[in-house]
Amino acid sequence: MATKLTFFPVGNGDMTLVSLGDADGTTILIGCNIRAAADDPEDDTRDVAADLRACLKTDAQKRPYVNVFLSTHPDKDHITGLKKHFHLGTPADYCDDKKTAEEKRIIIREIWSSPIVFRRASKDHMLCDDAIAFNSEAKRRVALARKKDSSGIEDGDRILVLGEDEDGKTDDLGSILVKVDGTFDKVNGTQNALFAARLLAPLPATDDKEAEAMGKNHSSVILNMQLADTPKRTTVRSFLTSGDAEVLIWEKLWNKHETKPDVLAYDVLLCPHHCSWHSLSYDSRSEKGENAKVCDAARSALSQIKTGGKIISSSCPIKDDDCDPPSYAAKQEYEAMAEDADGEFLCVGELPSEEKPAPLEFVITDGALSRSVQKTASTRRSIVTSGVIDSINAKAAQNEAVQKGGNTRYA
Amino acid sequence: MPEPGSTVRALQEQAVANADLFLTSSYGALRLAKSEFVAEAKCFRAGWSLLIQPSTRERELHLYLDSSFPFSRPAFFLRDRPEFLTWPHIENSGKLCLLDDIKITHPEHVEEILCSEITDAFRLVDESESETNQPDFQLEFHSYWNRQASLSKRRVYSLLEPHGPSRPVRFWHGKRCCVAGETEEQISKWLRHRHGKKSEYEDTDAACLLWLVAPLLPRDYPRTAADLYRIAESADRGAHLLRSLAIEDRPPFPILLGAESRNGACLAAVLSYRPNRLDPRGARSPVTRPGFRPGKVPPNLQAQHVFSAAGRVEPIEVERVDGAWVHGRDHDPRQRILAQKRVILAGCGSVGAPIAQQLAMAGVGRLTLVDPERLTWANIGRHPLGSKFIDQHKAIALSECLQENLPHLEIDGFVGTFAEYSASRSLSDVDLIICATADWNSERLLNLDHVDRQISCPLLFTWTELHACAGHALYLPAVDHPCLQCGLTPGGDMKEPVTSWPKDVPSYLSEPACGAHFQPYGPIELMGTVSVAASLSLDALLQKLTIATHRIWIGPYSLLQEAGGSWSQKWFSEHSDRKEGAFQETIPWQEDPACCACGHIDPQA
Repeated sequence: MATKLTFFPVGNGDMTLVSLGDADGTTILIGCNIRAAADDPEDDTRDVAADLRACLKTDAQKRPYVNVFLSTHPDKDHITGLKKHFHLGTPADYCDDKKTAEEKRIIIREIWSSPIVFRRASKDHMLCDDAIAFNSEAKRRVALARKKDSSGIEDGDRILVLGEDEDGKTDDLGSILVKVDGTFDKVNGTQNALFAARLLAPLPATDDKEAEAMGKNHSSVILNMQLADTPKRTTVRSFLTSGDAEVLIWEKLWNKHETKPDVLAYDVLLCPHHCSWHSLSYDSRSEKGENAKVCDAARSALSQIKTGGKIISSSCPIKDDDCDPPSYAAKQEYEAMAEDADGEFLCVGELPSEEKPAPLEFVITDGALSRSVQKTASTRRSIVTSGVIDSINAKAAQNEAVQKGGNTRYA
Repeated sequence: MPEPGSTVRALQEQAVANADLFLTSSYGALRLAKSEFVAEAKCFRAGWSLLIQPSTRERELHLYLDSSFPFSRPAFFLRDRPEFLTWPHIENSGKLCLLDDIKITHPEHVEEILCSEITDAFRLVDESESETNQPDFQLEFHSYWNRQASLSKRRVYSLLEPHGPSRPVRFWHGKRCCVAGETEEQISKWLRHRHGKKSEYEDTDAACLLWLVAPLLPRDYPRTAADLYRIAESADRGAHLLRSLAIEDRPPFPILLGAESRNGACLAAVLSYRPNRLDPRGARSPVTRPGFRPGKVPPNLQAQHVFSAAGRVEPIEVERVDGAWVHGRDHDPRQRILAQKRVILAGCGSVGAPIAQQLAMAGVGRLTLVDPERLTWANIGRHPLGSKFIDQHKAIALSECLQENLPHLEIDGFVGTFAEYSASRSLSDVDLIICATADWNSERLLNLDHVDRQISCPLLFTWTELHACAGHALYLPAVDHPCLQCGLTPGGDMKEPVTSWPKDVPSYLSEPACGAHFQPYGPIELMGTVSVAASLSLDALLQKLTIATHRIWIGPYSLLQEAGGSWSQKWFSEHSDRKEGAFQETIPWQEDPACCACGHIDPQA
């Protein structure tokens, strides 16, 4: 196994799988946006659920599982399909054992959640059905953690809350709480030599005005993960994932870490908010057009790309139009950042083609971060039969490159 | 060949890129991350996964390229496969052993190389699934027998003649190895030759060789003593031989298994252990069948007891060390003759020692090396023996060294002259005496003894001309003329030498010591002379020569010129078209009717 990052083509949404190259093949799924069209066999939309399942392992009871599901924030484009494809509730209530592998819901061994789950839904904090279900599941796990010592909690019941709630609702969470600027290297309760992460956000609003300005997206979890190829950590690459964090968050992060920008440095950046202009600027492009200015501090925060790094937009294809996200102007900014580091900007919705996007995969190995061909269940592999062999042989020239009978010059 | 200006590295990188394109587009292969296959072998730089379906079932085949590609062949590993030793040519790791008969002529044509190799891999899996290649297990018996998981860490060295019928043989058990032979004497002699004299080498056990109709297939390999008994029943007298062994009281019982395959004889061995079960009370099962006193059990009943399903067997690898295998892997028809020959070689110097070495390696069964001198530092620059043997007698040190290297032969040494040797030993069974003493007096004496019929076997004399620019080997059959003297002057010089030297070039040099004369040639210049002498000796032993025969090595003219010599006038007049030298010539040795040793015309008259 190799440590891999797989970005699934889910339109303007996030669904990214981190597969660690350890013996267990530990998996961390960041967001989920399995739309109805993707589940419809009659629809051409990529069957990302099948793609995801092809990457997952099954447990002793043949149940598919992810070690971690990270919800950066409860927006629809980051959580759609959760109820349908994932088991929510106690592991004992799992009832899909008699279903086919494609129908079995995926066990989430541990949830990593933003503290926003403790906030009530409101006009400014609307939740879709999947988000409501996630909130319930997260609260169930938190309640269990409050009752039990964390060491007594089993797979399927674990949770980590990433960041503190502003109203003090996370004060008593003890070991399941990771505070901003804290680092952790446990995955599903077990220390993992291939993984470490620093929590950079959610940042608390300093006043009501700021809170109003930040809106719901200010609760996005921003994690800078250190991913190693093997337990020897010969090759380690940074992956910065940031949900829908917008310009104010990035500006605050830069102001906070300007003197130590390494905490923001990355080899792979998942563009905040699907390449939205509003992660880089306070100005509206629709109002100010070309006069819209980039926030220097936010741009600096997002520019900490390492040599050869990748900036990934998990979005629909990016066109030179007024659409946002994804924003063409933002893309140009990111391309400029990548170019400065001999890196690359890539849009998941455009690869390998806009018509038929496929999962975009990077492998961390051999001192490099390289794109690889993604093995998917939904793309059936061609089978080499004797007919194929004969056909290729017939096409081959006289096969002068190889002579049978061996080399006769040596006794 | 690479395009002008391109480097090998560029060619190799391009080859992998081309391979990727070809494999993914033509075979639907998936590129593998290095970490997915590096555990199998670190030498591979790239890998792909192919789904193949030779008949009904899909199988995953991995193709790997190493860092030498395209100057090396791709490696194939079958991921989903049956248990090891179910299909031939598939290693325990899943690696396919494709026939090593490929010559890559155009490394830049990557697609054609891969196309050919994938076809071979596909066919192998196809043949394996249909079981049409099961006989390959028999053709390559040793490769599979020796890969059994339960194989003993010891191995058996076999001196047995690899053919039927089934018969009793002897077996020596050592801590690290065992030896099987036809007789106890054969085994103990081989062990003494190889490891020195030890009393434990004299003690061998009864064993048997079961000669089977065909080599066993892996599915028929014995897992228990009962399996072994069933195998024995299929061989002529096999069961009888096992019953005889069963009454022996020295388990484990060694059983050799042999059979002829199209690739030659196959040998394997099994140690069969007595059943050693514990009864419910924890007592071990008895050595002999219950109800009988030890040694009083009827052979049939004892055999049933010993060779039961409860008896453990331990397969052992057999390595043949008999002469026919060592000298030509069973394919040198000369071995049967050479193994019976006895040769005495007088003179173990820079010419005689390598001749002895060559004849031993060629398989001459018995060699006696005769030389009175000890090895010095000045010798070892052109002598097979080195500093380890300084101050030792050449004849003894060389014979011991060759004997240890080739323990199935019989090689001994005698310190002294040939005259001293012949005075004290019988020469009646000698097939050839080789004289490489480079000493006219001893040559003359040997020649006269031959003329006088004191020595009745053929002779072979060998010598070099100055600076080893030419070398001679003369074979004289067991008749009194012509003799060595016929072609030499009374002083031992050649009447018609190949080379000619100015008078100021001395015929030998001297060390700053009394009587320490030598010729200043090196081992490389000597090889031609050694070659003519050894090859003529072999011809003599194989009875290819009927008349006195003179084989000459004519060294390269450049060597002669550097040393200050020239071709002799007579030689040049007869070989003016070959003045560059560096060739061999075989001619009859002419009789001189007026020879002072064997002539019938009075030279005075």
